Parts: sequence; structure tokens; C-alpha cells
Amino acid sequence: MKVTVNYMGQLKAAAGKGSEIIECSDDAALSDLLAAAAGQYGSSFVNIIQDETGAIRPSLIVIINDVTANKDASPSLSDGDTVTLLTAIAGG
Amino acid sequence: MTEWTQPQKLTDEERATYEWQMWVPGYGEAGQEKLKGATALVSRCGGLGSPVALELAAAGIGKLVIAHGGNVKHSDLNRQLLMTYDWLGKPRVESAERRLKELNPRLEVEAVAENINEANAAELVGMADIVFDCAPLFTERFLMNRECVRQGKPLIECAMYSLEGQVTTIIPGQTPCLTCIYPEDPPAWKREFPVFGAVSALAGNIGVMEGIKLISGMKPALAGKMLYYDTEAMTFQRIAISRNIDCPICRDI
Repeated sequence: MKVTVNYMGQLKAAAGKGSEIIECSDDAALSDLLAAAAGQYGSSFVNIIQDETGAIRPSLIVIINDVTANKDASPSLSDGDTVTLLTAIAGG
Repeated sequence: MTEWTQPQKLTDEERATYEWQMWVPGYGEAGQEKLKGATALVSRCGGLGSPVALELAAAGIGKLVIAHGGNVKHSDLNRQLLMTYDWLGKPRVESAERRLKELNPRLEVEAVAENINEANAAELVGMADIVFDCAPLFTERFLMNRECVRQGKPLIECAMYSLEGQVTTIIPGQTPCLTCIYPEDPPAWKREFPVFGAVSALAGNIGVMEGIKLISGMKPALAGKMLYYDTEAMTFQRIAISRNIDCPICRDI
């Protein structure tokens, strides 16, 4: 299946793009998608979405089709889903 | 949400000054009197805090507590609208206070030449009815969040990066607090980052409208929700955000 992934904040800079379509297996869950995304980019990208153990960072907000996802539950994905990854930002 | 402000009667000059915004349905002279009776803490007065303080001053808030350390630098001037070229090398809060008073001489300003820290957070939050978080460091943001939760003060969270912004309204006990949203100091966040002044001003101005609505008794739109926008694609989206029942900061309220 194909899932559209939107990268916001520092992830957009780390990926060098704001959006892409990632092909996943038909039974893929959120964790599979994030692993696939992480595998495409360097450490600056991976460090934003995963901690040293490979767990999804608590500060990453994941939105699936406009609904905030429970990252810990790693929900299943469907063909055509849009997943937006929102990073923590501040001011200055 | 208005019991924490004491409305103040308007003078004729103030009625003339705020006439156009008092025509806004649901706001009126009663809303303006509540705004006049309110005190807001703005920390810091940079790309976010400058437009926040400026718009609150223009709208007629009674008192601003502004906290910002350091002196004006060239690199401030693309976005920190309260800092001026002639004040380069001089304290930022002096420039900010001067600009705010030029706009609104009736405004009371408490200018603190420090950033939020462990030693001053409780006192500064205690001086205000509402807090606007415009700080660049999550250590400062988490301190303000902790104190707002402890003291039951609303906190308007404004943030920006590059061409993007985020805004949410935190009402302790009712909405997620900042630690619910971001349980850790985000490791990727850096003190210096790309941004345009217009992008930060947009986040600040959205935050100001949330604050004015809260103070005046109108309903905030971003309580329990986060607005995020991308001015590259010009997309604005609002998502629901949830409290963390295990949040170490707000789980007991």
C-alpha cells in the first residue's frame, strides 16, 4: 500500500523535502512506516523520531488523517493514509 | 474564565481608541474593561514576544510584564519588532518598554532584564493573570508551564520554525499542559534556527487573539487543540491534543 508522509519542522530540513509517498506492506503499522522513513535518511532525521533504543520519541506528534495518533499503540495503516510528523518547536 | 481579572472602567480617550474592536460581536465595552484590568507576562520579547506584546499594548491591556535578558543585536532585527537599530548594544527590555509606551502611554510595563529561570519563574508568573510563552528554550517553557499549572494560570503557547508555526492554549486542569504535549526536552531543538519575522509574528498574533478571547470571556478556539501552519504551502490545520494521565506536571489537577 501507499502512504503519504508529511514532514514538518526540523524533519522537513533533515529529509530535504516536505512530503513523499512511501510504499509499505499491506499489514504495515505506524512503527513500520517510521522505520521505513528512518531507513532512507541520515542520523539527523533518525534522532528526531527515535531515541537511542529505537523507540519513537515522546516529543514527536504523529497525525494520521487529521487525527492525533497514539504512537505507543502503533496503529495499523491503510492504503491512501496521510501521516504527518510534527516536531517540537519553540521561539526566539 | 474571567474571574481572574478585575474589569476597569474606560476613559473617554480609551473608548475612542478602542472603538473599532469594541464593535466586535461578543467583545464590546465589557470585554475592553476586562482587558484593561488584566496583566500578561510575555517571555521573551523576541520574534514571538515582540508582536505579542505590541498587539496586547495596541489592544489596550492594562499591564505587561516583559522578561528578556541581553542586549539588542543585529540578528534580532529581522523579527524582534520591539528592538530598534538605534538601541543596538543596549538592553532589549529598555527598547521594548520604550516602543510599547510610544504606542500606548497608558500601558503599565514591568520590564525585567532576565529570561525565565528557576529563581524567577514563580514570581513572574504570579504577577500575571495570563502568560504568553514566547521563549526559545524548552527549559524556560517547561518552567512557565509548571508554574502556570501550579498557580492555575492560562498559558498561551506560541512557537515557530522556518516557515512554520504552532499555537495552543493551555488551561490547567482542562487541557493538556506543555509536558503532556512534549514530555521531554526535544533533542533536535537548537537555540538558533531559520525563521522569517512574518512567520513568528503570525504565531504571536494568533496567540494574542486566544489571550484576548480568554480575558474578555469569549471562547478560545485552541484549548485542547493545536493549530499548526506552514506558510510555504499556506496550509493551516487544527488537531485535537489529549492530556497525559501520567503527566508529572498536571496529573493531580
